[in-house]
Amino acid sequence: MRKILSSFFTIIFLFNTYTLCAQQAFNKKEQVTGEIYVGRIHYIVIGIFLVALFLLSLYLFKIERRITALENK
Amino acid sequence: MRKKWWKILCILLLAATFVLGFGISVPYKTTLQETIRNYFFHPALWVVMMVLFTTSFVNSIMVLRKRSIIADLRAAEFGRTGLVFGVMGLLTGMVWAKYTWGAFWSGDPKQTGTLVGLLIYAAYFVLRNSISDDEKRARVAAVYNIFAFTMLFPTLFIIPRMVESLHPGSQGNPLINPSDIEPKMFIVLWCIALPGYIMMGIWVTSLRLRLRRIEEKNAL
Repeated sequence: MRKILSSFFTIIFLFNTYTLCAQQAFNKKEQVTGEIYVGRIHYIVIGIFLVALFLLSLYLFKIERRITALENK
Repeated sequence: MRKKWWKILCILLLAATFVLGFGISVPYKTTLQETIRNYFFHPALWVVMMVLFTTSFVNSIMVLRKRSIIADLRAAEFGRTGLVFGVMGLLTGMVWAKYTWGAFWSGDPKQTGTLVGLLIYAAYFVLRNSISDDEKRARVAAVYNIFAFTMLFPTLFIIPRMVESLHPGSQGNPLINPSDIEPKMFIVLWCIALPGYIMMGIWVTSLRLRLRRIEEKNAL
């Protein structure tokens, strides 16, 4: 449960960081502002979220296998 | 519940939520800007929380009617997962508030009401852990769970709507203004994000429930 919770909270943290970056980029009223580019942030965040989701699903399937093994005992 | 297909579907739906949530074009609103994308995450978490709490509430009624210990376990585990989703809803709301209202916590009636509602629910677990006798714990916890579920309505829905609030939905305003949201956003939220989150909630709860049953068997 602790690992599941930490995965969820990591997602929340990433979401906060994303919102900050996106807002900063928009506040400069330009789509391209040197290093911050809104479209690129979207792709990076999608990538990070998908990796986090993949790891979470792997973890849940692993737990499920262990529980099944315990039940079969 | 042990079939694999719906769990894979859950992962695919959540992946689609993340891709579409950050990928599709959204209407430009001066105050919301890119934070409008939180629409795909924040409201869905509340709906899932209510679904899980309702399941917990129904199981608590079954405890009182049939004196079922299994129903008590279900009520506890659905409540626990619901609380996690509730905390996540509160956190995503705070992030949204920071970039639209100016602060993570501004003492808004909606925020305060939500916190009170969640704290009342959190006390359910404190109460459960304080009683050692199984049958007594099941009965007392079931009664408290019914109270905590009922208290969600005034704290989350009734009081914040009656007073001035920065949160949409107060004083007769719509919770979601159709002019702010495009139809495709509705589709992503209701047809992709929501089923995905609900399945994730049920999946986590079912795992915890199976684990608890093993623990109960070992304890006997």
